[in-house]
Amino acid sequence: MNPDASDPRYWKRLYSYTAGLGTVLSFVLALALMLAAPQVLALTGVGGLPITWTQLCGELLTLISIFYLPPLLNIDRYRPHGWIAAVIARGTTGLLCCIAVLIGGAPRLFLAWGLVEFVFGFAQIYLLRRLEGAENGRGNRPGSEWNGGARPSWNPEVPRAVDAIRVRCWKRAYHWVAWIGIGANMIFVLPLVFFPQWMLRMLGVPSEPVIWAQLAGLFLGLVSVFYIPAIGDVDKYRLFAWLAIFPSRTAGFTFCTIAVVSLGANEAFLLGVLLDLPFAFLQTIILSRLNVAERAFGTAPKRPAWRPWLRPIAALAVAVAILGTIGWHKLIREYPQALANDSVEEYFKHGSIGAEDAQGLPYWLWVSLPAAFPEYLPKPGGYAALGFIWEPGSEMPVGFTRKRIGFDRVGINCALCHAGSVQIPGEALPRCYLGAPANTANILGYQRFLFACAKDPRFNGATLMPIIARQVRLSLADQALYRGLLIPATRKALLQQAADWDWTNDPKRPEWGPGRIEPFNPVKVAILHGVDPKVTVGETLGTSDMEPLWSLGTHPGRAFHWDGLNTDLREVVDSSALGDGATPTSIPRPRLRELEVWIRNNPAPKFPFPEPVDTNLVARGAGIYRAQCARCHAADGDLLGRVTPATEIGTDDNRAKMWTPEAATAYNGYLDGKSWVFSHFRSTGGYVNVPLDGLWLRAPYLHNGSVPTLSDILKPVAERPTIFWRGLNDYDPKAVGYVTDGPAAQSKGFRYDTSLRGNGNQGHTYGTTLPQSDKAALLEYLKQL
Amino acid sequence: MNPNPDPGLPTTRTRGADRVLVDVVRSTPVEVALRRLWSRIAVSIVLLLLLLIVLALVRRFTIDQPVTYKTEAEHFLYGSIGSEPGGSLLSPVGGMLPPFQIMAVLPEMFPDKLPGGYASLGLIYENGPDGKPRDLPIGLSRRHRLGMEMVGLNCAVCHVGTYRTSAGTPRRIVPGMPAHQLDLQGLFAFVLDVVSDPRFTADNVIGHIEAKFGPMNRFDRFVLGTAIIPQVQRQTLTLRSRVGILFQPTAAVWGPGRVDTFNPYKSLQFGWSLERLPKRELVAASDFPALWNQAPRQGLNLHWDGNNSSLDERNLSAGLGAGITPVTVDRSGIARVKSYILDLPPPKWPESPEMPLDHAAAGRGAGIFRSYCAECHDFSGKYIGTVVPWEKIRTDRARFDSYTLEFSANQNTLFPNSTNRFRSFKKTVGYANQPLDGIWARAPYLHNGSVPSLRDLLEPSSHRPKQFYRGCDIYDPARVGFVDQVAQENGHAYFLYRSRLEDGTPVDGNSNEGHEGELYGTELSLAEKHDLIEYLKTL
Repeated sequence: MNPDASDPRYWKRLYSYTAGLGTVLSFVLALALMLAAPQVLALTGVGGLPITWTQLCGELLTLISIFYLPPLLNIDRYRPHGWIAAVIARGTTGLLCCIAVLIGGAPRLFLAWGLVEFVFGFAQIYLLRRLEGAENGRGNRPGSEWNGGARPSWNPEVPRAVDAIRVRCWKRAYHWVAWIGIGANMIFVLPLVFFPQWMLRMLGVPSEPVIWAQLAGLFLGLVSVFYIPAIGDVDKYRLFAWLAIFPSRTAGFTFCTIAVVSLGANEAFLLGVLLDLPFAFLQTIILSRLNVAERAFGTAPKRPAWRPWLRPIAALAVAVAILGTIGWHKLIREYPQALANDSVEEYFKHGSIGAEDAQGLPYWLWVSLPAAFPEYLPKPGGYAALGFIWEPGSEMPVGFTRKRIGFDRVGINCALCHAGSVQIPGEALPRCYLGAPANTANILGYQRFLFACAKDPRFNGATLMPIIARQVRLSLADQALYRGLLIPATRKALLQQAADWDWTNDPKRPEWGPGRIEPFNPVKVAILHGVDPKVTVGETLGTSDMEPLWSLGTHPGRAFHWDGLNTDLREVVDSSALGDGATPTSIPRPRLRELEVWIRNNPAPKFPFPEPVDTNLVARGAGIYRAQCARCHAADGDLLGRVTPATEIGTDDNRAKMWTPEAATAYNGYLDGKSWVFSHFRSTGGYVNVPLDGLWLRAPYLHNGSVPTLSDILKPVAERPTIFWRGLNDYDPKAVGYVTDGPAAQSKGFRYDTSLRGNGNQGHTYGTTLPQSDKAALLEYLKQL
Repeated sequence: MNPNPDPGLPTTRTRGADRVLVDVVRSTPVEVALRRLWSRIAVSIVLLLLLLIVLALVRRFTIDQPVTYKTEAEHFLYGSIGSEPGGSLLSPVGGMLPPFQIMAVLPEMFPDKLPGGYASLGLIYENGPDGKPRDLPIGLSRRHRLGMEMVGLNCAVCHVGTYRTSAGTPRRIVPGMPAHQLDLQGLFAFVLDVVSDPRFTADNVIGHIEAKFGPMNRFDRFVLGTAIIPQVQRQTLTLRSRVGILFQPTAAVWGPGRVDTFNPYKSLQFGWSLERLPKRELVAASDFPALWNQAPRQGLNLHWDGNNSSLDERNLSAGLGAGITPVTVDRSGIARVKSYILDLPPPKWPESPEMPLDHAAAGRGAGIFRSYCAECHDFSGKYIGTVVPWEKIRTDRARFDSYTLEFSANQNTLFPNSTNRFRSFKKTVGYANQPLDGIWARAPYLHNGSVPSLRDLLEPSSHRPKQFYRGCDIYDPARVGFVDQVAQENGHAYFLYRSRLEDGTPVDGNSNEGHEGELYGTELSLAEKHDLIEYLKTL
């Protein structure tokens, strides 16, 4: 272009470029502050607490940036706004930032902000001055139109006087209301800018650092200043009169409402609603009435007519979009889990296996239930009273997961049943062995606790919300979500589950007790019955101990589960996740493959008791082991991992009979049509000869946990204990097993009666006739496995 | 017909596009238009005013504003840490004590239950900067919450002590010193007791408040009578239903200077029903520790049983005991306390003719301290802050037994969703080695305060007093501890602490055994014990 310094157009263009750049910068900063305040604050290292002040600054700066736009596009018409933007907006922002840093001790970064504002402010002032100089030189300064240049002429004598008066009245009304609005803004602006500490105390809201509140105050003032020209000449600056309502006032009360209702900001921010809503309302009425009057008078500009059906449809579309977004955000959106570290052990302890989608409990509900219904727990102690392993510093017990799918949900994973706890004498804390069969966890107790809570009529918002409110200040939206949806929905789901689990209350069935579970009958109810209606729980009974998850890859071809109902570890892992509550769509199969690798290779823990090992005795025991046990149980035994018929082994046959051929067929057909299927389920009618690694940690013994210690299993059936107490983690290194008798066990443990159905301690009489010395040697060897 | 019908102008009719006025006009259009405009503006202003009034009310009941103090020292004594009831107006959470005005009139309403007022419980009243007595004693904070002046406990209530050098001298107030004179159980028992007294009625309470503070306006009286007082009664009765078992006459007696740290917490934070806990778990009173010189304690195992090594978590957890909740906590208030106690110096032995110190003996005692005590008790000692297994120390085990594994697990759920969530609590089986700074002002000794003086602590337990009086703040410089054989002073009875009953039966939680034997200095010669004692005075 031709740099003709005397041509106003040259300066106009230069002004547009400069101010345009400044506006873009302001916009970017404003939107970043408003929409991504936490990230911005983290990135810059500038603090901001509560974050609402920062977001408010962003919101107001966005408005200011919008006000920058009209003079940018038409500097002739919006000359006053151009000056306001350059001198007042840029100038005072720069001044405040600099003063706050140099005197008030605000973070240094604000100095940079202030300087940038100054640079743009001065550049714009310079350009505007040059522009006006050029215009004066040519004698066509548009500023001469200021003060009623566009005021319509009207003649009071014509019959249209009524309309004319109305136009005038509404203009006067606008004038006053808009000035009062600016005055109302100033009630907040002046104290916030000049006496921020005092004002923040008055509001009861802190701001750290205080500059965010100060800036928010200043920006509110700047926004107000942009209202002024439209008050002076509502005809010429009608655009600004409307901008003052939308987006300005509208954005103000929308922001404050959202901040308080769904972001949990301090209620004092509702003042913003009170400030903006009435003025937005009044000004809208006045301006539209003015418009009507003007149209009647004939001075209004022509506007394209709206199609009448467009408005409701547009409103509907906006409403659906907003509600849909909120719904997706609050109910469905899935967030990656934040685990303490990336190790597979941490994933095993607290990682999601997909059980939260369908069966996750809302987190705050889960946290509050023990405090709301302590009477349904076996003893005081929250979830710890159910024997779950709770590591120091951990948010939840081992085997529990927290994942946000819309809202935070709590699920369970493999570790709930596959982590053991051993209290070594002299150590303050019990040791947690990952992969070990759970010995203390009371799984049915947990389910029954949840069911009992759901059955209690106090399971409602009125009881639970105050307990949640002790722990956390939920936003109003989240409170409504919990009260209106999550609590009733959870209750309904739990009641349904309680009905599905009703068979577990059959008095003819033995209690599970700690460390035991019915692994497949719940699967029949939840999954298999839907595939084949003939598959039911009926009289079948499968109560059994948990199995260890270690070294599962070292014996290729072995069968899994007590009865060997599957020979493919991939299927075993996936089906277990489904049994824990994952669905075919929610199950994270790639993560489970990592877990599978880990349980294939994870070695069995060594016997931890530092007692002197009699190497001679161990060597003798090894010989006995080779002769008596190796064929079925040693790594090189030809029967290892194979199924021995229950009739032959003689142990309680309920577990083997529980898994019927129909059930196996149904499970094999469950995923038909999917990219991954089950095909290795089978019914065996016997029990697997299991490898004995980490045997010391697998007490009590036999699949149903009916024999408390290793030394007991070497006794004839008649001499095995018939009553003992399970669930302690105190270890008896002599007998090799947990402590199951004595005053402590009797008061804290679960009474196990071998005479009940499914609890039989008969069978596996191998080695019971050995001489006592041989048994001692064998025991010494078995400890070391 | 009419292109622009306007029901607001019934007397005006126009015809045709040129809008010629054809009807009689009863009032001029200008008047009509103006009237309508002004009436709308008036309605808007009224609406605005109404909104403002509603807002003022809302602010009154939602504003959360502590009474603030300029200096950290004053904040420590009187400032709020957020332990006042707060949260939502409809179901407030936290707090232990009734609102300020009610709290203030309780002793006057029930002189039979608390003769002598709160001061008789060992709460310390000072004069304010204006020379007049303050409204509240040390350790009680004020905060505007839920539309009321609320009262909370702060750290100072248990961690400011007094001593006198003789019966006639004025008491000295030492910030950070264990409040050995404070009967906290008595304070709670009183508050829990009076709300169910038939005299605790709205009219009676309001009457006493107006007598004390002057007449109040109709609105305040209405709110107090119909909402606040019934609410306080309900809340306190709920509180009593949960922790009452610890404050009923048959409960284990804490006595002055002691608190059962974790049992109230089990019920208040986690809803455990204390009735279902084993009886012996509910006997766990222990002395208040000193709160000075915390900077070098960072990283040591804190609390008597060393269950946490994080100063911040320890502070927050103690705050829970004072009545804060995760939603009502005042983090900046606690941060101020922290910055104060980090460098609060331990009190120096106030050497004077009444409080003599034998410097020569102290010099000799330093050597004995180095060889006997320093490994465990000096800041540079190898074992400072580590937990000594109970098998070695053998002091009363009730305290760490009441801190169960289940409890420490549940603590992990506190302060959820924040960087402040408790992560460092762990069960221990023993007691942590404490630094001995200002040890002279930390009598009685051992975690359960079962040994009245340092001199007694250097005797084997068979020679330690089985019964003695606690709560008197006259200092005994010879034995290094408080006077422990005075049953009452000016009508105020001191508390008889019993390790064993008269017939020799041990009292649960009060054992004075342990921390004895050659390693612990109980077999030193008389002269050596004297030297060591003189040295300990200088710490």
